[in-house]
Amino acid sequence: MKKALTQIAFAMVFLLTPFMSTNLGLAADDVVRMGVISPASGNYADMGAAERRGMTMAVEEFNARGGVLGKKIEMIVEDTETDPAAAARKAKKLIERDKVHFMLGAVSSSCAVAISEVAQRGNTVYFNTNTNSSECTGKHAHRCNFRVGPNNHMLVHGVAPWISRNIGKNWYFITHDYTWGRSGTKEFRQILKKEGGKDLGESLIPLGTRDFSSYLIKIRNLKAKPDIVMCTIGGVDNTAMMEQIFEFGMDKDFRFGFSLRDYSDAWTVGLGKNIGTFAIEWYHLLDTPGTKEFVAKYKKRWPNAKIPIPDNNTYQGYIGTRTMLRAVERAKSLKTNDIIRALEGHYIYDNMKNYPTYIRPWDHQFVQEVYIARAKKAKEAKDPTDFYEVIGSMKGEDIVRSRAENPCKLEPYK
Amino acid sequence: MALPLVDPTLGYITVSEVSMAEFYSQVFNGLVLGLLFGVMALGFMLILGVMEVINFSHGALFALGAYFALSLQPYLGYWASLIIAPLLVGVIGLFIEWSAVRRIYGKDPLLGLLMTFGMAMAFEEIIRIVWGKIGYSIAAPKFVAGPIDLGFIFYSKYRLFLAALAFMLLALVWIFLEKTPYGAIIKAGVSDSEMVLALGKNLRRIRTVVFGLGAALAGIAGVIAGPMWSLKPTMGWEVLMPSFVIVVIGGIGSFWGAVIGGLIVGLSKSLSILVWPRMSELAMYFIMAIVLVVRPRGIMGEKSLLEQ
Repeated sequence: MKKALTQIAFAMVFLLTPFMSTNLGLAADDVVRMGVISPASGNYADMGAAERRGMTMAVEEFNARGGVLGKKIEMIVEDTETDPAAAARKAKKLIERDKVHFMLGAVSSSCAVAISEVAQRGNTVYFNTNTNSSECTGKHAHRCNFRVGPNNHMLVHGVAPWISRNIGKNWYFITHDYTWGRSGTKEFRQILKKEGGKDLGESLIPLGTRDFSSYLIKIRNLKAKPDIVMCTIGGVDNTAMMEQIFEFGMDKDFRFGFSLRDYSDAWTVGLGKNIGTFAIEWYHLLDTPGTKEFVAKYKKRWPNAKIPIPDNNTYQGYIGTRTMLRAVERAKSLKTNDIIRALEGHYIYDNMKNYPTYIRPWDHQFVQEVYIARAKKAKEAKDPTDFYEVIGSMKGEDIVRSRAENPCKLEPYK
Repeated sequence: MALPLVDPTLGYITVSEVSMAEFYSQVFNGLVLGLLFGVMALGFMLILGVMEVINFSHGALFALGAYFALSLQPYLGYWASLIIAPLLVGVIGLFIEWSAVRRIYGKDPLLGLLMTFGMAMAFEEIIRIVWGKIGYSIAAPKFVAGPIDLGFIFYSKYRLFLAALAFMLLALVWIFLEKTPYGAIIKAGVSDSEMVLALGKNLRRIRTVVFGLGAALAGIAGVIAGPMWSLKPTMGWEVLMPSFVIVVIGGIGSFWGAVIGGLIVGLSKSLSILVWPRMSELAMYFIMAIVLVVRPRGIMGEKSLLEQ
């Protein structure tokens, strides 16, 4: 009996300890606390590391000037584990225990949705970085939530019209036979119709297929040769498909289009082994104001980073953090509503693009320029990081959803 | 030539004009893939025949072969890894037979299925832990990278190489089974394992060896398929079901049954793309169903799967 009671007592102490420290957590008020909720393990660990590098650079820039509102900025980092439940738990911890003044991060759309709900309930500004699902600024939009990168709709509506006007209007489709694949092809088809193009047919690939040879043979032997083959194939199976496209030599006489390419995916596949035409958010070799300086600063700060140049994830981490801190300065306050008001309707001019980024007040989407790129062959690369040739661009306002297309409603200010 | 075509996006059944080049390409491709499936199915069939165990971990062993090759290639090169990786998988096969599988011989076949299924999931998770969840590319050896113009069709050099390797492997296994005394014992074991025991042969050891051999065949199939299909932890499932179907179609106990079954399944996938693309994954199951009804012991089998 005594033993049992002792055991129960110990158990209770262990269970209650986390809660005991909560209210004793004396958050010092002479420091600005920035929460970072980003993957450090799981599928997206590398992208998480890349975005954190950008965030750290921005924080250090501000701290070198004395911080923001006269206080130094402190980063408190948590790992989403690329799992929405873990992400929500850690976001809660950042808000309630660490008492962060604002948060950034995500990479995974499903984590971002979970985090944004926690942020809205905890009335903390949250910047969703490096995700793509259009729902984060649509069905799952919240007053406290802002999205730093372009969404799927923007990328599809950036790359597709550009392709139809510059490459050709006869399209064939390769679709992954599940929701995401089919909805992607559906959007491509809608755009093709609007542009007056010709639909040459579709190959539906069952999910999990590793062998694309029969489909590629079919495409090679099509009576009417397509100008481009638009592919909506998810993640890992994309690598298998590209391997087989090279195998059959189809990279030489066929063009392939994708809605998006993450630089870190291209880096993994390797120089010269990527193909296709796709949309990208930003590129380190762009000839836009501020880019060269940013790349030089990155190289100096992170000489041993896995990827030797800042990629699109780093760009978003940097721009997101800098925008948040500048908003705090403009608002002259750390209160959530003041920061939100300072962000809505704001223009970012030094965004290393040709046109300024606009933070739309009614869905909190960062409306920005999107670039169209083509994967370079190995011999075309100027240096070992030169994977893309940027061949075009689309202005932000031409590719975002209109109010009619995106009937989202943000909660009132708290 | 004109062929019927079922394609919902075009409007139900139309007639499509298929060029001879495409037809030959698909037939050729189907045969090449069929040879690879045959290698997998052979290992599966031997295990099933000698031990009456439906080895659901066969796909995972295939994946392990590919991943071992991925890790070994930078140090040993393509050819050495081609030999060593399957040997490692064979050793793993020996180990799982000795430690786990042998305890369920003679018992309800469901136990074997469950045990090997559990192992398959465990191996898949181990792959995730050791190599990560992301996919990997393996480069094909330089002399077989890229396409080749064969005159009547445009094809891939690597697949021709793969077909040659698979053909050699099948020939080696055939020689082993037909021309060596140990092979004769294994063949007898596939037919009737109890009789082999009654004749005084060390059935225990035979079974261990056969499981290791089957695993090694799965492993080498994985190494060969790696550069073609890329790697991901779940890559084994795509070849496990065809192995099962091939054994049903070809019949247990026959080497040629596995090979011919493999060719049939390979062709079914590629030819159905010409006529009914969405059914390409299902075609082999239709054929299996027909075989089960018309000739349950398979095209060349000695006993039916259902008589086990």
